[in-house]
Amino acid sequence: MATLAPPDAEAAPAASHSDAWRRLRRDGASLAGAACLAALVLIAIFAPLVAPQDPIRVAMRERLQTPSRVHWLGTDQFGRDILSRIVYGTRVSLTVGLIAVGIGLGLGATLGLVAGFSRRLDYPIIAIMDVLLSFPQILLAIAIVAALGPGIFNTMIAVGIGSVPGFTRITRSSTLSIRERDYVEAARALGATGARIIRLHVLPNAAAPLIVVATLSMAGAILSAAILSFLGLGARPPMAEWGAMAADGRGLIAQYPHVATFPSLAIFVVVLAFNLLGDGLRDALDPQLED
Amino acid sequence: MRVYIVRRLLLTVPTILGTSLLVFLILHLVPGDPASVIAGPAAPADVVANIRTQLGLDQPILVQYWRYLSSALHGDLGRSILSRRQVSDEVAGAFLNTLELVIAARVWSLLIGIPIGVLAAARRRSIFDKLSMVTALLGLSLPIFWIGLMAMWLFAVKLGWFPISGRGGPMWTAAGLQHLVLPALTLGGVQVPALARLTRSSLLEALNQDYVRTARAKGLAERLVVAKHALKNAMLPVVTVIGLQFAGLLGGAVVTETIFSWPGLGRLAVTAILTRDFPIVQGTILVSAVTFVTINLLTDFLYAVLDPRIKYT
Amino acid sequence: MSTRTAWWSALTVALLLTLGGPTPGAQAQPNTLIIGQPTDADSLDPHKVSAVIAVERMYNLYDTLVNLDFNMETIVPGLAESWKISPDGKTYTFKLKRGVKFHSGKALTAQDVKYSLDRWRDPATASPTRSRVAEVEEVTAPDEQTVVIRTKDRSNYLLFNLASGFASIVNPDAIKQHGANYGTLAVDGTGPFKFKEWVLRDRFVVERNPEYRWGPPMFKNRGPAKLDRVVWRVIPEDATRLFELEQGGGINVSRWITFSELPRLRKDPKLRVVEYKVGYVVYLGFNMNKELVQDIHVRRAVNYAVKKDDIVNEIFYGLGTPAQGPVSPIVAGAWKDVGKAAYEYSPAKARAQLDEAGWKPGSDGIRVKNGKRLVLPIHAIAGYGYPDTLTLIQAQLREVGIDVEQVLLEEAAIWGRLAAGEHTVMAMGNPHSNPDEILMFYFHSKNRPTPNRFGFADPKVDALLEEGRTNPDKKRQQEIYAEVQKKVIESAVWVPLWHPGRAMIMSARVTDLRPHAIYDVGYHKLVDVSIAP
Repeated sequence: MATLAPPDAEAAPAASHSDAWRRLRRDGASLAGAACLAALVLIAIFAPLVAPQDPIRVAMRERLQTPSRVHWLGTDQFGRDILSRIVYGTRVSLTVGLIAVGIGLGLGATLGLVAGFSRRLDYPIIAIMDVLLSFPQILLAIAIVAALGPGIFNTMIAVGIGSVPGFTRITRSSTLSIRERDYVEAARALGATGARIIRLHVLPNAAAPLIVVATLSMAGAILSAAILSFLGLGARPPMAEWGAMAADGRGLIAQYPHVATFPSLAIFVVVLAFNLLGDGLRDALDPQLED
Repeated sequence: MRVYIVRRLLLTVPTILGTSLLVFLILHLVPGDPASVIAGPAAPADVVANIRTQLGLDQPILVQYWRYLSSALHGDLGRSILSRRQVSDEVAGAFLNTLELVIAARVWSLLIGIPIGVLAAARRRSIFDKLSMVTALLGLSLPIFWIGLMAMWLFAVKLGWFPISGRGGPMWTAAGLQHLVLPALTLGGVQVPALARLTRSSLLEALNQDYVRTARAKGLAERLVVAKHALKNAMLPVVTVIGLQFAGLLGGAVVTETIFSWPGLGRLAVTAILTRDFPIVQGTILVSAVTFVTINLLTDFLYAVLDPRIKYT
Repeated sequence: MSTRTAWWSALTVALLLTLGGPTPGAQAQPNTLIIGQPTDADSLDPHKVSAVIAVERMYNLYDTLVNLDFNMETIVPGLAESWKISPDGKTYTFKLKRGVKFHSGKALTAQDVKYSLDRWRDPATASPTRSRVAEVEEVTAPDEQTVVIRTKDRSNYLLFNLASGFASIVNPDAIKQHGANYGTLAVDGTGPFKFKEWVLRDRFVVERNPEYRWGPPMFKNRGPAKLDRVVWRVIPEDATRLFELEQGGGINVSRWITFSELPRLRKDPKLRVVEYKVGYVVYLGFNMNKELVQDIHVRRAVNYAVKKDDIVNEIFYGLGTPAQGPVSPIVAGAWKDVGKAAYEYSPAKARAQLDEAGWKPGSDGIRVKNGKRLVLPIHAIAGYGYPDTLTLIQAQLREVGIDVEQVLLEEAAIWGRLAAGEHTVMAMGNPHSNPDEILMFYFHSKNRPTPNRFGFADPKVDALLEEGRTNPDKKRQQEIYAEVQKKVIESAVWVPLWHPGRAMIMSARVTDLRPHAIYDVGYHKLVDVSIAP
């Protein structure tokens, strides 16, 4: 079968790490992305200190207010402060991105390594990945959430599983290309075990594309989770999750567009930050595009 | 070459079978069944059980799957549990509607995305390049449901330029086209940035290749260099991604179809999953798998056409 | 200008003309009522469905033997112009109207009625609403115009059930001809509208039946409908539906709106908002098989702690009334004094109940007993306003130290789980047109585990409910249902939340569209309705 890995998945000729750092530091856009993410992580960790109000406190007399001095981003249909909910939502979104990609990376890289090393298991693993890929990702996620039940944790699993094939592909092709190299043959002849080879040769080689794809996948995972919540299948109320908040506000677009718009912008900022960083990483680790 | 085609086609069969079995298992090993949806909240237990038996839902899973598979192989995909229509009719109709949407989205995203990418690569490091890439990143990061709602609110409600929702008829009629614009804009809008960026980066990569330098050294006009040599090769990864994105579009269409009341496959699949309408779910996944596999094949052929260096054994 | 520029200009102009023309929202289809709904019906075979959305279409495509008047109490003629009930109450004799025809042209006979009712009752048909005619023993058609129904015992509710959409009379020939495709690809009834077109999940179109002359007396127009056509358009997104109604003219009427828009819509001169009451109750029900809620103090505490006024006014903008008991006050036989037995809103009393039961407030305010936190998982459908309602209740219960976990599920998943008794508390609602529909279904012990999902069993209540079905004395019926409700309220097995009102929002051009509360349909036969151009 012709492989249809995304164009950047092939392992680049190993760029030295210090070169990569230098390039990354010069790239303004990805530094901005990284800084933004760092800020978001801090906001997430210190959410109780950052958020001006209780995110789940219901105050019906104050509902659907436009931005004011008391409520900087206004209130939703339960009178809850939108800014505070967005702040707490940072925790949810970052956690979702982390865990979903963690699942995808962990499972995917493991399967990729196995597929690369073991001729016998290669075909079955690729076959399963093909099957998973022939699902539209969102439908697979919906089916898994329908199976496991509602809740943000199941959303993470569903989105994570959807990202497995990508990671498997990258790791597998890295493994395959490394396996044939002379120095690996030599190492084997000298008695190095598979584990050592993996540690010393395969992983460093696969690290670059994996990092790039992982970063970009975080963006995708957060978007997917938001879409699932928008469809009613993600976070359960009263959890402050951005997609669920946008879903809450979707019927109010005509009169109170701020309820859906601010969470959507929050999603946008996080996803953008991850995209900028991922792009920067890709450029830094794969220098062919420089002049 | 012919042998290769046949081999590829044969290899798709286990993939499609595997997909169908996986879906079946996921949905059946899970709580929830359509009998109670049909019965409603006030039905006594025996009535619900009665309906379940009638639908054959009380049989063991593998028996149900076997039944499904044997009729499917005879061309009978069964009936929707809830709507009682032939699955083939329902899914075919919905699929064609989504195809309309996806093709329209694709066309306009190609028309806008590729030229932007080409121009950005040709005018590298110019203001245009930087601006368009940044805008592309912005578009890539906005959630599609917000884009859809805003597009509807701005263009249909406030400005009144287009109908608000629904499908107005076949896409070659004026009414059909008018209803198609906003949903296609929304769905395609998310694709434009990715295409632009990809076109730019693969064109840049192609422009660096040796044969291009040779052409330049020979003194060929820049435009000719770009168009004839670099572009053709740059299209390879773009074509690949277009293919990959197609299957993804099917899923992305879910949100668009919900917001714009488009009677497509995405909405059908989601509703069927949520109401456990198993035959419909099977049908939609089947269509999706076949589509994905077909697109893959076509993409590979385009690959071969565009790059004569690739030979298939 | 150069030819290239000319080409581009021409193309642009052409595109703009095609695409940016006048909004075709106000489709040039005069005299057509367009109804907007979030979901589609599945089938219009009356013996295969239970959904409200199907019933409102069936009222227009079919007729029933009798009808329920707008006042929700009086039974009026339908296909039967008159009927007699034997003194022992077990034999009903119906005389059919003459000259009634199906859309296909076939004349209606008593045999068709017998066929329909038998098919409804037959276990092999697997009708979800079969239990409505469980007491029917036999249906006979002694001649072309007469139908006789014999029941096992006296039944106070047979006529009500014969007025429901599930009692629609179908054409046996059509059923035999279309088989499994009946109700989806073909529909043949005697109603004021004929089936024209159905694009699933998009639109459903019916057109006027010019032969119609046998309309029920509760409408002004007994003959053919004034409208040429009725279209049900499926628009899943709330905002979209609202836009179509207000701006586009893409729909003329809808019952489903975002509640927060109500105050504004009520003031819009281009629209008319018709608010009406329906027989419906939304409640929290406790599963008394679960230890956490077996203690009546906990159940009473929740009853005292929920502020129903806030639910009605803040979430639903006043469209309804707080519920004091399980039965809606507008249905025939409702208990006028239910307020005396009901729990009032009193957080102080709620706290007292919990204190008495040994639940002490923990460090975060949530009560604890024997190391266990008082957290109530509430199962509900993920839609129809339940998530919002539960969020508000969550906030209210926190005030007295009870925490809530929302378990929101889609419909296909929830019923099975409820039947298996997985829930501790459930939030649900049900339409009803008489006390029996609610009280018998939910509180008779024989109906466990479903629809009596609460584990409620009281032999005295059982006996009363059975008597209520058969005793013809209206005064005794009142006493019976008052007594049953008193016991139900005392046991605190439910927290009746509110009786929803409904709003039908229509363009001001629509006239004579009067909502009917039966089964929560809203749209009964649309024979009187017309649209000003």
